[in-house]
Amino acid sequence: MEMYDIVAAGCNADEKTTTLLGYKKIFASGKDFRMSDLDEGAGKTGDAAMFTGSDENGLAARAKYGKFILPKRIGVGRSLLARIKDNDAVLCLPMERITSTYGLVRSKNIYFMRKTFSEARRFGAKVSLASMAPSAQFMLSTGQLLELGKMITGNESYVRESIGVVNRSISGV
Amino acid sequence: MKEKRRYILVKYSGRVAQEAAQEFEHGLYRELLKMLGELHYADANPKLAKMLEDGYFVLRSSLSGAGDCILALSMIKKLNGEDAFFYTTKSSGTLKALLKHYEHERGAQPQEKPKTTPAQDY
Repeated sequence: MEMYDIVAAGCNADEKTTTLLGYKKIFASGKDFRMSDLDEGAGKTGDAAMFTGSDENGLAARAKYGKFILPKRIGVGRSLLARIKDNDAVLCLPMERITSTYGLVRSKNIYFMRKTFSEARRFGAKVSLASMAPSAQFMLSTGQLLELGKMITGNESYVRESIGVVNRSISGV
Repeated sequence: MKEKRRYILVKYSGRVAQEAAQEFEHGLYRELLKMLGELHYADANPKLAKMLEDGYFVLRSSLSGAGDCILALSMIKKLNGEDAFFYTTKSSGTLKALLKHYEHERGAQPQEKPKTTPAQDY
């Protein structure tokens, strides 16, 4: 099964690295898709494929475009999850929050991501598991992303679907 | 009964000089212990099986602990006080199959086994 990853702006995901890590393609923000940050006063949404920000109301309003939603806050409210589900948008859970933190902060992040995922599943919202790596140091191979996904979701088949079909949809395909 | 093992091919971000190999190995075990904790470390029983070239090495673990080892390697970002990261590129049940994959990845041709001539009947 073909797998895809999504990384943040500034992360160099060339063909050699993509092959080494085992992906079909790695989508980089700013290069393969546009990310709109609501905290930086993003104006017109236009052709943005991913929305991020701290304000859940703002993100819920953008969910109507049916794109990827990446909340900056760890816990996600039920109203946002309901809007994501209703508009067939995708909730993005970045693994970077686990790989770039340490100790108690990392443990808390894992706990809240598991909780967010189980709530999202309960609502029936689509979830994307991606590394969102800001640099090569935080990129993950397919095996590593699968294991992290299994730790969060507890379901391997769902993780494979998320890394395969769901992540690919950021390109509009 | 013999323990089932799993061999994991890992790409390290740096280069390990021969004289620093032992220090690297001990540093790796320390970081794995930090990530896995004493109980999971005992279950996984990780061991550096073989050092290869270009920052590659093979980590051996138990079958049940292989997932934990891959998870731990994705979270290790420092080794012996220096920035480091690990990519796990492949895992296999036998060392031979993993080394074959490594040779193929590096572009080297696998060596053919010499054909043995059958014993002649006199």
